[in-house]
Amino acid sequence: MSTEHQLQRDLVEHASRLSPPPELKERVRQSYELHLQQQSKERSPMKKKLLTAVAAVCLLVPSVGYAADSGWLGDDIYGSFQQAKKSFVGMTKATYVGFGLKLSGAKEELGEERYDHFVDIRKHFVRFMTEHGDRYGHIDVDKLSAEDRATLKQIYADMTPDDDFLNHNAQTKDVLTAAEYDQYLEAQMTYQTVMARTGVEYDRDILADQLPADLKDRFLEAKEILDTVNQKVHQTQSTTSISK
Amino acid sequence: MSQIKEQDPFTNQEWKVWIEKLIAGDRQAFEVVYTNTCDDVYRLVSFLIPDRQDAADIVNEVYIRMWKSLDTYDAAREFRFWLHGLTVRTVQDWKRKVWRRLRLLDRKKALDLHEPLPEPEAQVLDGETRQELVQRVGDLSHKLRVVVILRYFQHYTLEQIADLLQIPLGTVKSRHHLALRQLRVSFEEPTLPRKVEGTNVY
Repeated sequence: MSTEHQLQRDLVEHASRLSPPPELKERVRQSYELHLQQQSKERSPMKKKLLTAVAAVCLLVPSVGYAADSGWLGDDIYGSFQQAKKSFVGMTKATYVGFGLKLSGAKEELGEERYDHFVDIRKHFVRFMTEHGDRYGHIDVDKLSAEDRATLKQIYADMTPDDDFLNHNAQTKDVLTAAEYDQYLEAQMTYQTVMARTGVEYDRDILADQLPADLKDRFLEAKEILDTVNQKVHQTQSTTSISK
Repeated sequence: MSQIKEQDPFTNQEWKVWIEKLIAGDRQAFEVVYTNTCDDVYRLVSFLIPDRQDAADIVNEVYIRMWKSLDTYDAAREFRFWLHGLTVRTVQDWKRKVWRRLRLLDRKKALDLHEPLPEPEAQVLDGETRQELVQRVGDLSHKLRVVVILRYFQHYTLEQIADLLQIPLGTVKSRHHLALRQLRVSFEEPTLPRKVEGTNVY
């Protein structure tokens, strides 16, 4: 039997053993209910800022089974739930507790001392996005002063090692040359700029073909760099784990 | 290659009706849409992201995005194709996100304690050759794996995959060729070391 036929048969057979966990339906149902609620709220002219990177993570957290001992670690970064609710679109108690769960994982992996440093950087990031970002927290980097631009770049550089560690990836800085690493940081800022200019909430909403020519070229170039770096980091990780 | 495509339970016109109801907030429409898509979405995500907990999180995210994007669905196109595109993009975005794979240690420990059922990925390691092949698909880089899964599990043509992934056909052909070559090397000659493609897979 050819590899192709074997593959087709084996994938179907394997898939027959894959079923979504029963509790997932309730989570999805809750997301639908939340969506309906938000739809009706969107008619309100009230504008709030949304820290997309954080909100996206929150949405990935199940809305059931919160660990009681996870506490309110979100306070470490936002100050309080009330404060977060005031500043960010869609911040519910459930998403806030969910974010706390993510932080509890980070705290355990990083250890107390490194976690404190990690929190300091995130707080700095949140302050920066709140001050300079649009209603979704995206920053048009082209409009920043040279000093603010350098600050943002440094924040990205400061966040990367912990992100790599928590994602169980190779350290991006070790995988790339100094010039490539600088390009990687610049690409993240270009991405921010495009999102801020287009006013989208999620990058999936960016239609490259509809961007102005200069922005389109910058966006595609940045996307290519980010994809390549992700691939490189992933490959390095795979090689490491195979060799173990 | 023979096409054993999974039967879509509805025609596009029927999907359109249910989607309109879903947009209007009809809870019965939710039941119908979820029941008729959850296995498909979960399996596609699971093949692309083997971690069971992560897969469940991503499936939830797929549906969140579905609610938000229903307005943009073009009923002239096949619903499953649209949904698969949404699913693959969600997986890709998830992989790209900062903090994308933070482990919820407490939650995972709880799962380990309360769910002793064999994990799908553990079942793959049962030593059977056919399972090894599926496992080897999991060893491919993400870009190659996506093409393989869309081609051999969802049975899309290479042209459809290019359309779904919004990348050039030549890139899809290149990834497909490279993936099969790697799988053949590891499947037909399992004693040879596995090849990992270079950074330039285009």
